[in-house]
Amino acid sequence: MIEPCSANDKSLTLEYLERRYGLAPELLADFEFYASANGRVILGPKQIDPCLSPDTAGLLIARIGNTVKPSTNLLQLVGALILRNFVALERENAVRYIKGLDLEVAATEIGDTTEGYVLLKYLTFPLGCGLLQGTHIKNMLPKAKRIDVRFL
Amino acid sequence: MTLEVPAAFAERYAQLVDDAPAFFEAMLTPLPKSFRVNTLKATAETVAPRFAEYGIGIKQTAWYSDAFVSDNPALGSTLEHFLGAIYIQELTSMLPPLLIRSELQTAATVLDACAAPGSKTTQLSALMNNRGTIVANDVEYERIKPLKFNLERSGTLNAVVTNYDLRSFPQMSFEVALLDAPCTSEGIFRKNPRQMLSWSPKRFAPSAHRQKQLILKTFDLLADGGTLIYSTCTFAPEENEAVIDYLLNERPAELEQVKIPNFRLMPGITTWQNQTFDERVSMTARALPHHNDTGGFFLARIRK
Repeated sequence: MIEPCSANDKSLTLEYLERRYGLAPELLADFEFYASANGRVILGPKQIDPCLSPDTAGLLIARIGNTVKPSTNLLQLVGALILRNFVALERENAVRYIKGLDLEVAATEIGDTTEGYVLLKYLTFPLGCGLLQGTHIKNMLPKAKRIDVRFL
Repeated sequence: MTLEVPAAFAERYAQLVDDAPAFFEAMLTPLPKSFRVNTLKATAETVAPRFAEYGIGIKQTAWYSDAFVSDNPALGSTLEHFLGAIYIQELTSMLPPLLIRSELQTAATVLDACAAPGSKTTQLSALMNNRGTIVANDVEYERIKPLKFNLERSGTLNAVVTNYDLRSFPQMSFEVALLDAPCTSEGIFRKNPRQMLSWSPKRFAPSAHRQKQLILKTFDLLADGGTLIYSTCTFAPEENEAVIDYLLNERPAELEQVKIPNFRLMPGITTWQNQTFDERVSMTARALPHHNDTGGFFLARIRK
């Protein structure tokens, strides 16, 4: 079940996305924010008829706990617009990420990216979310999305 | 074991199709793999060269520039599949949203009445460029999970997922509705030929009974002037033309000609086993496997 998102959670999410990834709040202005269980923030259509009891709507874009955790759904959708805090993976690590494995990357691959949730890219393709800790990247790809990719 | 078309099936549909030997031969031939480029995330122009690099042969269809066929079963192991840039989907399943392509450019409210697993919902969303609102409903709760997964993978933002028995759906009004009705699925025997072994004409009556209830309810949910697409993936006239004939008798519905440029369709029939349907039913259409090397499908375009 979903309900309207609080103004505070909406603003926390938008501020985080702008600060960490350079995503302008206007990018999401055509959509509405909703809330679901366990701090889930959902981006969905502006209009939902009040007589409906939706199971869900739109996309899960983040979870709010101690910090904001962006979803892979969101990062895949807007990844091309992300200006900072991404790591471009080599082919071998891209395959490992899509398989669901954690990664070790060289310090040179990290560059200016700071610790925390990062977008992982392969070439120009936004693969999804990882948690950067030093040179270790914890895989945040949902289990259902993991595949043994053979062509990339 | 060599699979054969059941004798009663062959006898029944030899009367319906234009070229029975070609029809039955196609029914026993495996269905080509196909996919649709998800334009919320990619374009045909960016996806096609990637497949060329992979050495996976693909061919664009003449009737839909985002639809491709392939002889390679590895489509699901590509980066594009992982990213949701392509959606593996049977060709005929792409037809219903194409029939309302122009309406989707401006529609604010769209109902996908039997939405799971989401092939058509994600296509509707792509054709709407994530604008407006699609209510994606399915009565079976266990089918909601794959529906949600496919919506997420495709980057669909404008869908609302509901789990109503359509017959008790809240009274609302939609500009466009799609009823891809549950059916006996004869048109996808090419995908899973073993289903032919359990084919029985006894299944038509209960399926048609439900379809008649669903089409009346969906029509009632349509705004005046709105457009409803009714489709099934079966050949049985009881579940197709007879359902449309029933709607025409029960409601002030108008039919519009079903046409897809560069895709061969057979007009809906107006007589079947001692039954005569409203002449307007000939404006509906059938996709037959031997005409375009696809599964089988039925399509009707209805105006309120």
